Amino acid sequence: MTREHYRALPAVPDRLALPRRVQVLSLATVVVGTATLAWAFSRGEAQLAWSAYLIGAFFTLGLGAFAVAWLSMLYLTGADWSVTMRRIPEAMTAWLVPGGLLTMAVALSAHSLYHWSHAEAVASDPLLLHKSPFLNVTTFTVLLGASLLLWAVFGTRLVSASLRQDREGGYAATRANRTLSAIFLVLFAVTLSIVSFYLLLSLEAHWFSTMFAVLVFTDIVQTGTAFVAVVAGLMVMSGTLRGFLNEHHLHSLGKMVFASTGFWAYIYFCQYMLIWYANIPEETAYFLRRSGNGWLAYFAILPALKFVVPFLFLLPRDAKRNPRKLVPVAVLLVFAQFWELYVMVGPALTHGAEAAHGHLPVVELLVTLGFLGLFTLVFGQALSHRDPVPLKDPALLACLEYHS
Amino acid sequence: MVPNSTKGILGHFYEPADALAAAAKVRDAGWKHFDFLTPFPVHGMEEAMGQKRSWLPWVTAVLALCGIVFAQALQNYVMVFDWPMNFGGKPFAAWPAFIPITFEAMVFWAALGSAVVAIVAGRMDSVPQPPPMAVKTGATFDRFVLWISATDPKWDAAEAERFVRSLGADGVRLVDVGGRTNA
Repeated sequence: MTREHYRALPAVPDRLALPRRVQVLSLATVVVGTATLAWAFSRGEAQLAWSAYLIGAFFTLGLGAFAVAWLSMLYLTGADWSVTMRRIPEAMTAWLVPGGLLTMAVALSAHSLYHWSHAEAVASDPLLLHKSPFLNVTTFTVLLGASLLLWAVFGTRLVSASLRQDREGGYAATRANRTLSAIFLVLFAVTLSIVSFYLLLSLEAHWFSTMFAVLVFTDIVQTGTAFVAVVAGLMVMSGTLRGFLNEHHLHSLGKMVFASTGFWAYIYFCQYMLIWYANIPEETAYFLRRSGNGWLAYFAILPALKFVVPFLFLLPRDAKRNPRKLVPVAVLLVFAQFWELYVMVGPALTHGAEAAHGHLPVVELLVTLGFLGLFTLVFGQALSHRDPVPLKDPALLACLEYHS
Repeated sequence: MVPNSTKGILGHFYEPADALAAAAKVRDAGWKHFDFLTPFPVHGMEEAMGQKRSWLPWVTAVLALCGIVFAQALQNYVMVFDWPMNFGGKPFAAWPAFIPITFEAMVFWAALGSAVVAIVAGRMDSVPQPPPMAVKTGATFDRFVLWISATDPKWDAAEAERFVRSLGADGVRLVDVGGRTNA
């Protein structure tokens, strides 16, 4: 008696495109970011310029890497709820090629940023000498390049299978992507460790932390889900995907953003407490450097930005479902990632023999915004070249009827 | 105990969508003491039945705070005032060392407390259910069963039967088991 309850698909929207305002704003930040970088180089502040470059490059690389990892997780867990928003992470993977190349340019900066790249420093330092089979510019370039290439290849494969499904339908593409995802997540654990060790951890080559790769993983999950939440929230607010994307989908996404705040606190505190408890000089140096020389204030507000404020704000159910509440917190979390990278990179730098001093990260912020602007343009370009919703995904109906 | 009613009416539906549509109509008709017995959780049923959001999250929040206060109080009392001990030269009030316990106590209090409150509240604050065992509904198998209890303020057997039939329900059946249940 009942088949009439199964409704027809909502009207399929036009191709998605970045609003004109966002495009202009992104372009402006790219111009300002490039100008800031050029200004810093022209003043002879190579270290400042390269550190800002590293922060911006890693910030956006994290968004691209997250997209591939998240797509894999969604395929593996059979996350029906995410089908109608899948084009967002798919478009984010487009950054991996240009972003990977921009990140590789950090190799040029090795002498400004990485102490271990100076042969005379390594020769007189037993610890660096011991680590030199891993920490040298050739291995750096090869392993970093291989890892970034691997991300780009898997990202392209996952997306192209999804686009093939748009044309051909059927279950084959989902199944193929599921296999690919399982392989990728294992490789991702290794390659993300390599990338985070080389780019960030090796800034202080004497220090080590077994929590570091996990911490970087929580960071990119938090920033990535927050970025998706900004885009999806704006789409719900503007009604771009009316009928396809609603508060139930936002709720699930919001739960992931919410979980990532607790996950970050857990991992960051783990790293801190292990070092505090053992009290070994090689390890405590990391936090000592971040509590002196004017860094303490920058370091101390990090837990508020990444955990306390977003956690308490996202605790009520409505905050995860209502885009007007979700989007501002997500923006805060994206900003918090910049802040954390600044606190990771800034204190690790030395000016000659002197430790770096804490300063308002104006140059760093402008350059990072430039990277984010470029990322947004690439993202928008990729988004506009695809159907806005994977209409032939076998899980589409389950997604449309999804209740959070 | 979950309150049972000895009198009421049952009606069967065979599709979740039909059950949802029927629930919305029962809600709009102003019935209060009704329930849907389903083989699996039907998404959107709470809204269709007009149920309010549970107050249980507030209980969880309060219990979590209590757990935090308890763990902090206990550790600070024991480790700072009652029996201070020197561990590796750390201060007596070594807050990082207290965090894991505080976290665990928070989870413990919130989770167990919420479970207990949920069970107790579910027994008290519930629509009177059909008499157990005396009525075979099929709700554990393939039916979505509407139950309207005779305890409803607007109960009238004839009117209820006419109404449930008007929803398109199958197997409409008035239940009256007298004093044979524990209600």
